[in-house]
Amino acid sequence: MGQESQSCAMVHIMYTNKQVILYVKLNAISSKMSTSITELENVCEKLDEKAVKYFEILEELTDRKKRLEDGMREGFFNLSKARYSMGSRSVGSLQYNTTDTKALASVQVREEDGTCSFCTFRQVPGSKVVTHQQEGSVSGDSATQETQSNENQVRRRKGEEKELDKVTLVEQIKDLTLDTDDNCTFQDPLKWFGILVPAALRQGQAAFIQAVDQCVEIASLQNKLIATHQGYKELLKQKSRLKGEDNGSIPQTEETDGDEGGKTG
Amino acid sequence: MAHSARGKLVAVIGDEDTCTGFLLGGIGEMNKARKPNFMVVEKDTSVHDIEECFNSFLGRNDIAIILINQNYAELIRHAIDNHTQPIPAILEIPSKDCPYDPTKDSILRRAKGMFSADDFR
Repeated sequence: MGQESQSCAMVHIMYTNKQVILYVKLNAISSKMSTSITELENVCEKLDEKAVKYFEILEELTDRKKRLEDGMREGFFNLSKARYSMGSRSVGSLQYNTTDTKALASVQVREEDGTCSFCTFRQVPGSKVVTHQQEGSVSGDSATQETQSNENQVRRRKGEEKELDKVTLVEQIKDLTLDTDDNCTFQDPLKWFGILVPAALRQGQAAFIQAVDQCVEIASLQNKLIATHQGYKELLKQKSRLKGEDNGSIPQTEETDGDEGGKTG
Repeated sequence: MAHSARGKLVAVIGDEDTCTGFLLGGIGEMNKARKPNFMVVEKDTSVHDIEECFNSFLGRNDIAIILINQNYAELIRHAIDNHTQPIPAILEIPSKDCPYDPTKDSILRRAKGMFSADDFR
């Protein structure tokens, strides 16, 4: 019994010692912790903001996808109606113009806040394709220069005919292909299916034009969502690092406590 | 240069009706190499062909958005999950036969795994 009481007293002393050590260590850390705690709070606030923003984007995304699905359903329904009235083979891939199709709807990419957002712009059917040459507004002088150079080529044809190597021939072919592009116009895809198309096909086209616009908006939202996700992950890493700094000193005390406890045991 | 002036393209991989619809919407284009920006997936089109076409669209710098029917996206899920660049953006769309399922969408699946219980401790 005497030995037991003695060991109990020893444990009590060790326990009080441990408390004192902890108190001293905590006092030393407290000043360091106060700064890191404010940092941690800031990061946590930013995390909350990111999470709220993320869910807002997600909500908008799901809403838009629902609208896209509805729009596309309407479009498919109208295409089927048109197919019914025009014949089963008349609305399909066989009618596509695969010779000189140019996109009426194209997308412009913009960078905003580190994310890429898209916006559509449409060409009016029947307008001419704007190429690099036309952008620069080919002046009369340059046109005459071109004709002069062509004439020179023709004049010196006999002398330099042998010198024409493959490279120049390829260049000339390229020039020819550019000329064909200049004559290209934006064609309304509805005309692939005939001049007097049923109203259902027109309605279907209208539905799919809206669907294209919605797709572009959804793609921007998706990019925004991914960027927010990345930002959230980075902040989460920052938070865990700050937490690690805070806990870095405390686990040491716990470890020493454990050791002491082991010794007492 | 013409592309940069006129913007980038929207590509589509899908069944006949999806392609017809979006081409009516005015996205179809044949480039100078006579490569289209759309692919009509038929019944006998192999998964390898779809993946090859998808990869070729990823490699083209005149394409900003790739639309793909979700049922075909399921077949090449690994290729879609591997793509993490913002351009071209990949968008899974419903088809005539299969309605859109958000649980299969790779973007929304990533969103699902964003918040784990450990983060809130």
